[in-house]
Amino acid sequence: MPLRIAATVELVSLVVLLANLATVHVAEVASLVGPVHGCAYLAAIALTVARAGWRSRAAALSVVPAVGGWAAAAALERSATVPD
Amino acid sequence: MNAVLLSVHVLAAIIAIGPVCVAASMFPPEARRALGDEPGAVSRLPVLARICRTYALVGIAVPVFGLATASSMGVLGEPWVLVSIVLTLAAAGVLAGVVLPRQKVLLEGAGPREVLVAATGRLAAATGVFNLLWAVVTVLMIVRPGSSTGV
Repeated sequence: MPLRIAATVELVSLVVLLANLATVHVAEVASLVGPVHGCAYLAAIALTVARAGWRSRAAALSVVPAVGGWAAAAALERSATVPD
Repeated sequence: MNAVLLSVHVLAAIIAIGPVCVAASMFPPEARRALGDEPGAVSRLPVLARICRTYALVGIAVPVFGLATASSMGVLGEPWVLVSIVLTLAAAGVLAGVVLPRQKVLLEGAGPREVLVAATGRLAAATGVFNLLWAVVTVLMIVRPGSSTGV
């Protein structure tokens, strides 16, 4: 659940940053949402590594920009439901 | 904007790193008591570990907003900032690479008791290093050696 929240913030904040860049380009939005996106990105990686370890597939997916958090959450749920 | 970024940075440092320092420092003696089968300590230990894990995660905001503040203030290249970044990386490495994994091992409590008791000593040492690194970074943030705006 915390990973889902971090993944959502990671994606939404990046969309906000890119939308801001493409349209009005307000510097304040960029300097505030930028660090929020950075925190969510690192939090998603930390949460994934804490659950599955460094060498897992989910950890490799989590470092992908923008959608890495969602991909890692999906991979973790799959491995939780389908034992290999 | 500098004021907003700096406020988030300082708030996160106080609210996130403070609890980690306290809970991580309380963990090793509490783990020793738990290994001595003190029932209260056995139930308190997971709470301390949870505080450390949760607030370590919240603590990610401290360096991220610190970098944003330094960049926005144009001081990113100053020596006291660079030294702080290196020490913060070291502190994060000690916390995520040594303190939290060793807490997890002690929480699981698998293995001979003497080995686990010895592990509490090593955990206490690593926690001390983490606290010391943070204390040095905090002093660097206040004194800012080499900066024209130092106290």
